[in-house]
Amino acid sequence: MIDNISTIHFLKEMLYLIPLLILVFSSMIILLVDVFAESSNKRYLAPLTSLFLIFSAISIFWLYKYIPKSGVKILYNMVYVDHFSLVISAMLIIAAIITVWISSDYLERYGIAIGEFYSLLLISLTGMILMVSTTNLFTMFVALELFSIPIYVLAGFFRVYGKSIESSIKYFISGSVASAIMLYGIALFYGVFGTVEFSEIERHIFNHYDSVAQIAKTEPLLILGTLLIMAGFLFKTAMIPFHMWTPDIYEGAPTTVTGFMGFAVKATSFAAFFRVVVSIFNTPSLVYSENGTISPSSWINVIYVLIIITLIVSNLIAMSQRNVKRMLAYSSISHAAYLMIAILTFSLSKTKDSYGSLLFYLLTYLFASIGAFAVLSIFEKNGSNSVTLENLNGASKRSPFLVASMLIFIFSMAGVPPFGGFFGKFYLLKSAFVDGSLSTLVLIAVITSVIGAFYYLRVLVFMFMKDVESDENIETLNVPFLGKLAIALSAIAVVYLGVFPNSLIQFMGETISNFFIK
Amino acid sequence: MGVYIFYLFGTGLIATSIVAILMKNPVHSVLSVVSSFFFLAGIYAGLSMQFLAVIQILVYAGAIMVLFIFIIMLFDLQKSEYSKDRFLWRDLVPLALILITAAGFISAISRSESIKNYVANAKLPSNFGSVSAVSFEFFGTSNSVGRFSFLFEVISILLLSAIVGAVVLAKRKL
Amino acid sequence: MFKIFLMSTTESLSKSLDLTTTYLPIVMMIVVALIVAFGMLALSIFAGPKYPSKAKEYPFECGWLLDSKDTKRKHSIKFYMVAIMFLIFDLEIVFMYPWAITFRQIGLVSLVEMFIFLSILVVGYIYVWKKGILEWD
Repeated sequence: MIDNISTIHFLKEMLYLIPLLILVFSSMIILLVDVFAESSNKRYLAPLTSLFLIFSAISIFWLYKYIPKSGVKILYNMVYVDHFSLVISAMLIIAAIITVWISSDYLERYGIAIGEFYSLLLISLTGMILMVSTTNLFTMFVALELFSIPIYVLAGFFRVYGKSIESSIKYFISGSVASAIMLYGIALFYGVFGTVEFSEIERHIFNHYDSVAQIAKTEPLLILGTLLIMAGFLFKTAMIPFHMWTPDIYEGAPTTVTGFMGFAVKATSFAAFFRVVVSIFNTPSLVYSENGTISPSSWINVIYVLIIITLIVSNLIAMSQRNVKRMLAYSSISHAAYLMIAILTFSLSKTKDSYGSLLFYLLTYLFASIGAFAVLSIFEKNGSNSVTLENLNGASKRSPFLVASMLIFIFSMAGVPPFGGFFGKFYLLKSAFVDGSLSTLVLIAVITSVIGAFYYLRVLVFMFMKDVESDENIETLNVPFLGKLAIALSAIAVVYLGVFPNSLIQFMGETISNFFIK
Repeated sequence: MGVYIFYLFGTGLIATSIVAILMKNPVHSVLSVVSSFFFLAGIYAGLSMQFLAVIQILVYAGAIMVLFIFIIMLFDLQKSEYSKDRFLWRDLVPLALILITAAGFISAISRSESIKNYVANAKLPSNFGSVSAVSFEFFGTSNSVGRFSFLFEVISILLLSAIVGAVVLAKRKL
Repeated sequence: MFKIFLMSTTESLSKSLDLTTTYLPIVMMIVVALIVAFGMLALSIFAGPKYPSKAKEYPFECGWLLDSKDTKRKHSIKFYMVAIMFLIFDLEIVFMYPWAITFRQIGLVSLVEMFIFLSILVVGYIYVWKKGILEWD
């Protein structure tokens, strides 16, 4: 049992939450500035937001130096800050900064440059950071809602377009059902153990049960709880067959929002799922049968099968898409499968390499995915809120800069050697291959990534090869300054990750905290 | 005695829920749902979860159902617009799935050791589920901070985002 | 199998259930409320004076013509906005209620906590106010 915390101590512990506090305060300040400021001054909202985000990022760097390797559990174990959570938080903040820079001009083009966008973005980011820095199922659920609800609203931000509203409502309803399913799983765990703290649940499972068969016999609620929580996470990470919402929502949402949620929601859910897997699901009695082999009814086999299905189906469907946003939605589903391979690898082998490869993959995916959506948001025809392959015709003549950056992002996502994405995939699959038991999975992943290269490269074909029939369409796109900065920085980052991957992947491996190696 | 009251409320809950699905007129459905909330509150109270019972009535029957009725009023459906769904054989598929799931849950609960242990030696604290017990969890005592006080503040941000979201999505002129 | 399930539910119920003493006042209140409500109705039906006339049977409606063909009225979204704002601010009661009941025992810290909670919501309130959601024009 936890002792009572005095007020002073409680306040001291809030120190570890400084990145969160900055975000919360800035979201409220921006809301108030937005309603009180003159409309001519509203163009300063985006720089103001990015300033706050940079403050928050600085506080994360400071905390990274400050906290010990074992992480700190604070506020009655409601929040757990360690290096892992800080690294993911830093990535999320980078994603938010890029999104803000691109959105400021994008929203203005659509005539709804209002502060609520930034405010909701910041609240959502708060929820995400809270979600990755907790080892408590209650906090996790509240954080899940805290980051989901603003995202539902942001998806419907273009209220005048039916597709945007549709995507918002679809996301809201299906997301709420997924949250409810996950909450049911949490309730079952709480019902069985009387606690929602990861480490305590783990200890209970370790002490009381030996094998999956025994659990199924004496405490089947545990299996049900595992499956329900897993279903909630699989929905949020958009693994097949929980992916149905993804294409519609990615297509209907404002493109910059799609870029943000494509990375941030996925990264947050994966990070949280990673913690749940490492701590609760990975307890030997939930994985192994009595003779020490992986039990056929273990959750690992469920994930294993789902990864194979996701890899094959998502890549095949993506090939038939004409709408680039839908195509990237399916591509994001296939990336989810890769990340799931990394989680599976780590839970089987527990090596620093597989841990580092997961984070490195997320980092490459961050820049490539948000960068690609940023380019699309500029190519987008006003009023349609979607980009088809035909819209990209002759793009190389309209803006060489954008096309060059898109080339980098697409090559990175397809896994072409000199770019970050290749090394992300390479390290991830290498550590999965070294483990041995996952070599079939690695083979399928390699084959499907070759299939995937086809539809990625088709985007480039449309950009370079196809000419526009009529000449009047060829007008140079003028890229706004902040957007140009964001895209250029993302492209540079992708190239840097491809050229110098070693130091970063080593660094990522070093951020492993005592939570993961016990 | 308590058991019979549980059966009474439970039967009422199931009956009103079924009525809510079967009614053609949406207003009748909503009223049926409201009464099912009262039965649910009764079950909560019977399980000595007084706080939940009160919230069930105050928030669900009081506020959320008001919104439901309100929206049905806004739609202003005519009789001709009521759902004309006939029974289809394929409707049995979700029904069967629900029944299978329910059977799975019941069998899981009946085999669960922890529930058996709980039934064998349940010792609830005297103020279990009372409003003051909930309050101490949230707000602590005079010399300490409550366990859930942090989540309590987080929820206020959640409500804030809900306010902003409602305005953004529904206000005619932003 | 099902028997154990039932047994477990009923036994845990009977252990934590002491309906006769704890909830007697509430039951009485509900009964009295029902008696008063239905009693009033019954009284007015059976004991009230009735002078039916054609004008009284005509449904009372203000502003709309009854025989208007266009029965599909458009309602302003403002109704919905007000309802949703009411709902959100009403949810505060979930926390205010236990806080108020135990306020003497939980001390000054809880006052500060509630202050922070409310000030975050007041930001939302100011926002709603300045956006003109509360105005009816």
